[in-house]
Amino acid sequence: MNYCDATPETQSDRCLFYLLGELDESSAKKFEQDLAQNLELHRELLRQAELISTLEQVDYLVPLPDAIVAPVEDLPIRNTSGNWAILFASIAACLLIAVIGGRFLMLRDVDVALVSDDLNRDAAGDHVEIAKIAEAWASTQLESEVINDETLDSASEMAFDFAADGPTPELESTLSWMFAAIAASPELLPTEANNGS
Amino acid sequence: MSESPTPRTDRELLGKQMSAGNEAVPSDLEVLGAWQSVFDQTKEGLRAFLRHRLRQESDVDDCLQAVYVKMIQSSARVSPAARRAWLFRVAANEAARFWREQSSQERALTKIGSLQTDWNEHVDRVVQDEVLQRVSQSIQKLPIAWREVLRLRIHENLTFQEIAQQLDIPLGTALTQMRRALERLRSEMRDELS
Repeated sequence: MNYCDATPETQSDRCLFYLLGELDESSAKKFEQDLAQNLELHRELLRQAELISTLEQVDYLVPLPDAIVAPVEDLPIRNTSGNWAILFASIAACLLIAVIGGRFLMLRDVDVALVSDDLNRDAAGDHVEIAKIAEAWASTQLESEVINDETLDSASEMAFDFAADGPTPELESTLSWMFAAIAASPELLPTEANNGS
Repeated sequence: MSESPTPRTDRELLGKQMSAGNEAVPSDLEVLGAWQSVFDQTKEGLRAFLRHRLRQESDVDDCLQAVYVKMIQSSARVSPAARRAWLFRVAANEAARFWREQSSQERALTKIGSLQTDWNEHVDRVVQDEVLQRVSQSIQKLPIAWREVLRLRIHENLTFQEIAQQLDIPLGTALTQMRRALERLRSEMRDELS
């Protein structure tokens, strides 16, 4: 095909078609005759030859996948208002977690205090109970007069310690109720009357 | 033209094996035969081209022979669509080399050894790589339609008529897009390609 018939002929076009081998035989002969006489055509041919040779070495001409070369208008448009909604929801969730966590920590402190009070009350109740048991035991000991002087001496010392310092770890032993009973019952302590008898 | 039973142009001889639907790889002998055909059909054009650059007809013949040798050595590296352009480019380089060898300085360097020549070839390769990189960037800026016509013509070696049919556009549109793409690239790469 002779493209010179179909398009406005320029020197650049003639050079391009000649280099690409798209001129028919007669047009190619005519071009070569002009090339021998026309210095400008010679320069233009060299420029086109350099450009085509360079383009032939470029790898970027490889076709891109359809997904990449899709028209811009076909691409989905991002909804930015949705991003603001997600941001506000995130902030609200953080505040909610902070409020709930704070209230949980406060209630936990109150519970610890209440449990501590309950334990103290239980301990006091235990002491009252021990004292009652001790009084009952002391009364039986007075009636039977089984307790001798040495026992009463050591027991009295420990009873005084108990009265002065409060409950000690040693008194938390199984005999603590007895010492408490002695301390609560002064008539069990050795007196002159008791020694004389 | 493409359906002619007896190929007359170099494109008819060379390009069909690269066309869509025919992915058979030509043998070295076929490639050399195709190159020989291109050289035979372009020889008069090359001679006319070299006459502008060299004074003696014998120098033109020597340069043509050097181009032929280069063609045999580099036959596998150039795609069919660019082979004529490659021949003219090599012819220009060989003419320039001829003039350099005529100078006394070049003769002296030739006597010393080939070190200078090796260095120049290395520099040429580096410069060529940079040029290719810039051309690639310029191609990326082209409209997609222009780029597609360029790719089909240079890399796929389709004729403009075949490109118009494949893209379902008028022949004049395909030619115009090719012309504008080349003009845009030339304007952006004026310094590198001159």
